[in-house]
Amino acid sequence: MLKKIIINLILLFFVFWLSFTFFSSRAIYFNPFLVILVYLLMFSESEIQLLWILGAGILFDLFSALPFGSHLIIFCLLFLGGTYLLEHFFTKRAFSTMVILILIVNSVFLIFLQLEKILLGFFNVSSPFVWNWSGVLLQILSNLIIGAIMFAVTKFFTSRLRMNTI
Amino acid sequence: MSHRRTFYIILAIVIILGGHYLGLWRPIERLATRALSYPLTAGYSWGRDFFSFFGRFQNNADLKKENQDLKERTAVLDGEIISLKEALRQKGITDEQLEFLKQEKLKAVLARVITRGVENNPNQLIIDKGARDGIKNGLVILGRGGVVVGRVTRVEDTSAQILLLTDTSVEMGAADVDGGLLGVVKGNKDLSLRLNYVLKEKKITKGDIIITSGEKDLIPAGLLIGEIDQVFEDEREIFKSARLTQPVDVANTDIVSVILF
Repeated sequence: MLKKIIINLILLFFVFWLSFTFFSSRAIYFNPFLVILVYLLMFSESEIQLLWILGAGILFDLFSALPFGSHLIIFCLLFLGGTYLLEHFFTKRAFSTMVILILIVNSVFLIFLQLEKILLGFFNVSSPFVWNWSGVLLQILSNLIIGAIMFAVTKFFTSRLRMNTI
Repeated sequence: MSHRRTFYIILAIVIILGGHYLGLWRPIERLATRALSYPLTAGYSWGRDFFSFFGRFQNNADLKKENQDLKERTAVLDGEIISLKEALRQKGITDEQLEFLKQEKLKAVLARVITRGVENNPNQLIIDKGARDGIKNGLVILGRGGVVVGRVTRVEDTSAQILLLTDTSVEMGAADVDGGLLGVVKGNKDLSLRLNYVLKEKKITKGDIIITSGEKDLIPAGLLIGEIDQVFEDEREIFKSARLTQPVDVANTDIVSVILF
């Protein structure tokens, strides 16, 4: 178990590094962490999911201009909501499930950031978040492409998935 | 199982946030931000280089035409640079800017850009220096060549948020090279830089150098902001405005100086 935790912590830092610094330097609308979140919700154990959610929340908050805890709370809410959907509505681990979840998780993440901006506005605290329709669509589209690639790769290496629709 | 999981998550959030806001995790947070600072700034820098390299291939078809245009532009710029340097030298904001700052007893902290964040804001930069290094809200940021690129808008212990001048929420008093207060520089929605509230009787023309007018305890006067590119005048308006250009690629900035004032 310890080996698994260490490997996941290294992977977590790598994904954070990619999302937060490497892609952010130019492709600011590109946030692959949300795809990883959906992927984990669908295919990993709950202990590992929690490790990623809490770890990523802390890492994003350490270097974010938003008040500390913003990402942690949003990721936890996405995790709880996503888990609920998977347990009650999308029980098949299918490609369509991944597409729908990426759409929902990505949209809700951006809506939460916008809601937080409005909320902070009441306390005269500024938020750097900018709701930009082209950026929103670009982010969702790019994440769907990454999700499709990850699904195809996973399907190639494992028999746990089925390329069917709901 | 579901309720138990939710309970543990809430408990974890309470412990993490409680510890943070009570300052219990501060030593760990400092250690973590310091330790992660290098790989993050390196990642930002590599990403910038990677996308620049990739972009070069993408635009390969236009390179020949662009090259010709650039040659012509360079010839014009060479002439402009000579007059620009002369204007700046006279006002003490030339390459010896550090000397100028020393004379004014001003200190600068060199900081590296960690990220532009995940908040979809092209005008945001997070740097690896914070309150511990003497940075406070409102301080001015200089990019390459000593050009003003933005202001500090939020400070954490070991990091700080910068909003570039092109952001609509950032404002800065501007003056001409004679030092006379001219107007307010503010970002425009199209990511360009505007000089607003210029009195109609004030004469401004394309190519005029714009510098900071100074702000008590935050911004020293005389720092280079840019030059006027286009003047907008409307008879019905009390003021006129202008679009500014900056001599540095602000979006490509990865090392900045924070002026401690």
